[in-house]
Amino acid sequence: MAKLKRVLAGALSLCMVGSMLTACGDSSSDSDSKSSSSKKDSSAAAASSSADSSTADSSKAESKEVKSADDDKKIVIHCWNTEFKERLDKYYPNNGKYEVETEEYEKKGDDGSTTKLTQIKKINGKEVVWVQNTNEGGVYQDKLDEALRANASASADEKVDMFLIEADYAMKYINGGVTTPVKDLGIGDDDLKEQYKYTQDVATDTDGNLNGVSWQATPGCFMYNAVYAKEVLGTDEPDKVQEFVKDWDTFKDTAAKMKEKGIAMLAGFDDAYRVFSNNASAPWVTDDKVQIDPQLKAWAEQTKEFTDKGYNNKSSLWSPEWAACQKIDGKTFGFFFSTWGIAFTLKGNTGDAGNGKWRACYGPQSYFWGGTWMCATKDINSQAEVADIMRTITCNKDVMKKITEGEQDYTNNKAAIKEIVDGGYKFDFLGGQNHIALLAENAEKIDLTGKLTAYDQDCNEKFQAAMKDWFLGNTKSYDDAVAAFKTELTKKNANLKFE
Amino acid sequence: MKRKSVSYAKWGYIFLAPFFIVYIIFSLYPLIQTFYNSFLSYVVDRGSIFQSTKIEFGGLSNYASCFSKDETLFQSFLNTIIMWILGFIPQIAVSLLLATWFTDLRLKIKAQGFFKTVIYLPNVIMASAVAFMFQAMLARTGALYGLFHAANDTTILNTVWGTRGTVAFINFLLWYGNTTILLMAAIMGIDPGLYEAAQIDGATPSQTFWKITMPLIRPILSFVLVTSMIGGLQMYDVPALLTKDTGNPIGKAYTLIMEIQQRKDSDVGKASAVCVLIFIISAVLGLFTMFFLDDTREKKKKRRKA
Repeated sequence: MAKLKRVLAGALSLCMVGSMLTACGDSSSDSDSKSSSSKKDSSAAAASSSADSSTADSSKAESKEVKSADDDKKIVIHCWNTEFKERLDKYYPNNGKYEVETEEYEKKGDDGSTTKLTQIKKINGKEVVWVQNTNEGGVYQDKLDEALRANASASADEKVDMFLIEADYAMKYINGGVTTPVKDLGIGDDDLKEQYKYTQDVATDTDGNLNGVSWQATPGCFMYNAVYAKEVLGTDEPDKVQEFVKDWDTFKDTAAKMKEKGIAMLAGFDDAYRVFSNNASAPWVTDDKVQIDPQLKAWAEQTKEFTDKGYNNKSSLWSPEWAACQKIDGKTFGFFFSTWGIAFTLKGNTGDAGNGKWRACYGPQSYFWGGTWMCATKDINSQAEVADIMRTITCNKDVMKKITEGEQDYTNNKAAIKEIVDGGYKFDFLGGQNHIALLAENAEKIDLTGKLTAYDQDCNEKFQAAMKDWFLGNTKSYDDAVAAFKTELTKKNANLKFE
Repeated sequence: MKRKSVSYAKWGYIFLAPFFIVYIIFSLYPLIQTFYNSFLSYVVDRGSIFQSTKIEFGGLSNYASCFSKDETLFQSFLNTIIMWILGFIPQIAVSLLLATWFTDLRLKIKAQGFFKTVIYLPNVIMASAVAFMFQAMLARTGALYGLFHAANDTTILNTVWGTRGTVAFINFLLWYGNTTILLMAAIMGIDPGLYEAAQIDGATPSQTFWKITMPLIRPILSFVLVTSMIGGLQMYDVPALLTKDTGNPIGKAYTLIMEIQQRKDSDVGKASAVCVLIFIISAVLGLFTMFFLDDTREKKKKRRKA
């Protein structure tokens, strides 16, 4: 028995030492990623590394070594991926009015390759600090909320100066009393006049103050595989293909044709979601009451039909299967993508083999998807620098034109877009098609007045998850799936109610 | 009255103090707080940054709602137990087998160190990494898709038993090495003379296993069972990552801790009530197993005979 006890005690102490060591490992890797968080670059999909930086972020928030510094030496920016950072690194130097110090770093691609890029180290002598947390499951919001609540009392160097938001939860921050209106930063109507109205609607609070600005407008279009179009529809010209997808009934007929050749119309369940949800007539939540718009039901019913008939490849958004469908031989006809999705997602996933073999057409309905707004915090202490970043990236026509030409972003500047369209812009990835002209048509039609709520991300995520079970046949009926959606949504938001 | 001996007891208490201070601040206080919160109707509005919070005394309403008809908690409890058992049975069987082989006097397996390391290796990998790996391998584009896929042409992670099975298998893979090491330690603690004597008397290997090994490693077995059960009740990372926090298909891979994680930011009172319920269940199951697998009762009997 004594021997046994010894063994037990030994095992236990081993476990303890082991757990201590694992803790050490974790924290050291945390501080690792903390120190290099600005250098390390991860793609939007790499959730694990962003989880790392999220822990690093919290540890950073707790350590208050530099308290005495009254003069601010850092510009702290919260973000969920590297999209904005890359724009800033590339287009702020030489265009902004402040002196910039840069350094080189290596960006790791999904395929393991590395590219050398230049990043901004300091603007006007202030270090730029990026705090990156994954968007999924509301992690970004939780961390940001925490930081914003503590922002007033945070030391000068730790104060968050700027943060990015998406339309899905923009309302929470725009009306949350945590932002500085852009006019207080010295950005006036004259600077903003060329921006699309909907991008300003998203960021305008109930008092009519504009609290955030975006460098991109995100009208969507239907991206299709030109090889399959030629094979099945006999043409790959955007105007003619558009006739095959001009409304949802025709879209379905075309899907049947594709199916005969073993090609799925869409990659998966959620692809058409935004096209329907953006055309909803009412917001998700009014006075804590949740409503399911007829458009969302229509999406669910169509997707169910598509799944049962084999018109889609049964993948979920952002999954590896979904990405594989974007290969040029991925047996998938098309994707609904907005401006960022073309260059930031599709181009990367399809690789060199797909270069020049995709085309864009208008699609069945106009819609937008995503978009990134930048807001200045209420307790900002780098006003001049943040104002200049905003003005350079979102108001300067020449810079924005360069962004569109360099990154294929649809920039939020009508004058720049007009120059590009008139200038006969061509995008090699789309076989020389001028998709900006196409998007310009869609951008004017976006109307978001009164359609956004602070709960949209949870509502969208939970609705898609619940419906997926119905599509796969795990849930018997639409009503059962709705019941599951209600349970899950109220778990995460106990204050919400259903009629 | 001789008081010559010096008491070193106070040093013992001083060295123990840091643990108790840390325990009281970081474990005991939150524990009491959780009990207190579970009696509150405590709802946070996640749609605002300076979260408007409604707190009022709710009595036992949180507990009552845990047992209401359309509540998913009982299902989640069942899921947790099912996934734990699915993982634990193969784990204990394989571990026992390996531990017996490695300690067998007649087999004398060579390169034991190598095998032990390999067996233990999965435990060193982070559970989240393994979960992501399996997700990638079972996906339509993955290496294992050809072997394992659902009837309707999707990954088995879209089926109830596929998901549960994968979770159980990952837990098995992560923990059987650890259990093997524990059981080996237990078996090596048995007097080799017993085995020799049994062999001389003509006992078969299976007889020595059932009649000597099993009874003598029972304390360790009960330790393994209790720790694994408590770990099983707290199953979270693998199912949460595999199902992207949804617990789907149809909530059949939802575990109790996932229920808490979903609720903790908004429905604080209910989440606390669930915590308290898990606490009670763990305590009851733990005591139950200790009672049935404790070897002290038998010893008492023997002593009486002697």
